[in-house]
Amino acid sequence: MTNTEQPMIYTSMGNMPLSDLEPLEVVWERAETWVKVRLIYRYQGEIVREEPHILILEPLQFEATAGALN
Amino acid sequence: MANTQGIGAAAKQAALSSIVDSKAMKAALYLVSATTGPTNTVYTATGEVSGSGYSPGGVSITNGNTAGLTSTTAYWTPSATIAFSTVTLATAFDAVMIYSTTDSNRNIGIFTFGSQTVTAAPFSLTMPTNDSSTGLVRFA
Repeated sequence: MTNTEQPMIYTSMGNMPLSDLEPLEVVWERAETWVKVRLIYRYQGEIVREEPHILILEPLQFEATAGALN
Repeated sequence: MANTQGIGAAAKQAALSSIVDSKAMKAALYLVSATTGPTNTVYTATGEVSGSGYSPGGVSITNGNTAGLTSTTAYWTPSATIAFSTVTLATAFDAVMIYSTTDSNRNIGIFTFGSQTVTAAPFSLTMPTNDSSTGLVRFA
């Protein structure tokens, strides 16, 4: 028995065989308050799936200030 | 030994608790071209993203944490990743508003993360460690 099934992935063009797409492009970005990774799949040069995931590192801090008595 | 001026730590925690503890919250995404910010008192649809798979108002946030306190810093962070299941958002966005539906959509905070689009895929915002140095909202 042979397994003829091929992995599929959902894209803007519907479900496509993973093997039809260009190699996965992984793009990392880092800023002071976040890190981002983008998984990009292309078909004939066109982006058909772009999957971003962001890790928030250290965002908002509020300062509480007690006013001085003058 | 000298006296020290400052807002009481317990008061800070109480202030933060009053806006986050046990509140139902949502997260909405905003276009790069929008002008959403701290001056927005409540959630607004103006400048919000639109696209396949995205519902106006955004997604619900898992809020299993209450305002914590370490030393003199109160803090709070959503207790799970903010996740948008398969969406297509073709116009660049760079901000999320966390708002409380319990309190008439009060704006809790706007967080920016750099320009981004999504094509036929999930999008997630993973929260920082919930402590006094990296918590999403800190009252120091």
